[in-house]
Amino acid sequence: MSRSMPAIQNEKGGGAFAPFVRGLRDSMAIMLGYLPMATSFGIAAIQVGVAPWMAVVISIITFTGAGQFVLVALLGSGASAWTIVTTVVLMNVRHLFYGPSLLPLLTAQGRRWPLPFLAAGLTDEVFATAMGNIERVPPAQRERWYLGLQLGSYASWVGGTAFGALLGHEISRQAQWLQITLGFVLPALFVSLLLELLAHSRWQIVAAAMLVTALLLLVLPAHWAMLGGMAAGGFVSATRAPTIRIKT
Amino acid sequence: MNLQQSHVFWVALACAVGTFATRLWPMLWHSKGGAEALSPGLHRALAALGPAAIGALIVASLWPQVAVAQPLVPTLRILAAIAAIVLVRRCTGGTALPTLAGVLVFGLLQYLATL
Repeated sequence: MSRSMPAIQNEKGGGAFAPFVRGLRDSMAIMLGYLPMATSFGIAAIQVGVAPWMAVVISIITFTGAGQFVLVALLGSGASAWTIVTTVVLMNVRHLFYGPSLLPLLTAQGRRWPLPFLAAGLTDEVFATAMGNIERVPPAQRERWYLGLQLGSYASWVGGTAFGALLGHEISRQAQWLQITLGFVLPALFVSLLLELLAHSRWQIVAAAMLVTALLLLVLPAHWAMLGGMAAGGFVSATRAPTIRIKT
Repeated sequence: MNLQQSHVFWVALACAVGTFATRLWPMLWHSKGGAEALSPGLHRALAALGPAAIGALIVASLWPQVAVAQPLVPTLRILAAIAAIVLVRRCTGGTALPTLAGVLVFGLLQYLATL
């Protein structure tokens, strides 16, 4: 463990696991959003004829949120394997940009963990939370913190899926207002993260991304609209003087 | 519906491999110095993708709630929840408590609307 990380050691008494535990703690906001979403996935999976244990296996091996809903919906509709795989992978094309954006911050003091460990759990929510909080974590602790963040999110996703797959029919009868409220957890998390990020980034980048995403949503599915919004934010940044401050 | 579970497994596995590749390959590219060959403008674009992605995620995740026939009430509910997030963040900082406050306000308003 590096000697340049007093913040977390002092806070919790130190130790190699302290950053990991802090990452787990920081994943709680994601868990709050993932549990109902993964439960919904478990329910959706068994409703199209996927066995409960297979729904859990799908979450264990894919861990891809919206992509899993599309996967089971297409399975249920009888689509070909090729169509399903192509659709799910294309939905996740935006993930191509997450790694290069996050990696320099994550491994500012060298990389200790193999890249597959860092890439495995890089979902939208993990990426957004990492980008929003990473500057508060000392550079030498960031990999372990991020692994904790990933593991907490992954465990809640798999656990929520199991819950939904096993108790699906009972859960789906819950009050509609509660279902709608649970659907707001992830947007609320993103807003909180945005407030965190705006302290370091130019608002024009975010505004351009939001505006273009909203316009594209009128004509395109969400995953393509998001790609367009991200490209717009990148374009604004590329064509203006550099002001994003990245502390490493 | 009677799905063959072995078919489900192989399709899910192929999706998993494809998804994992979209996450891992850019990291491999970056760690091998691929980004160093980029122009300064592209470097800035890459650095901006984090904030831009979060902005895009907010819009995409809120869209289903406001893209309805009568969007005024849902929009006001969302704005009230965002105001709660901003307020609590000013008082406490961090992301967990503001998120919780926003969800509570949103849930309360949603519940009241059903009475």
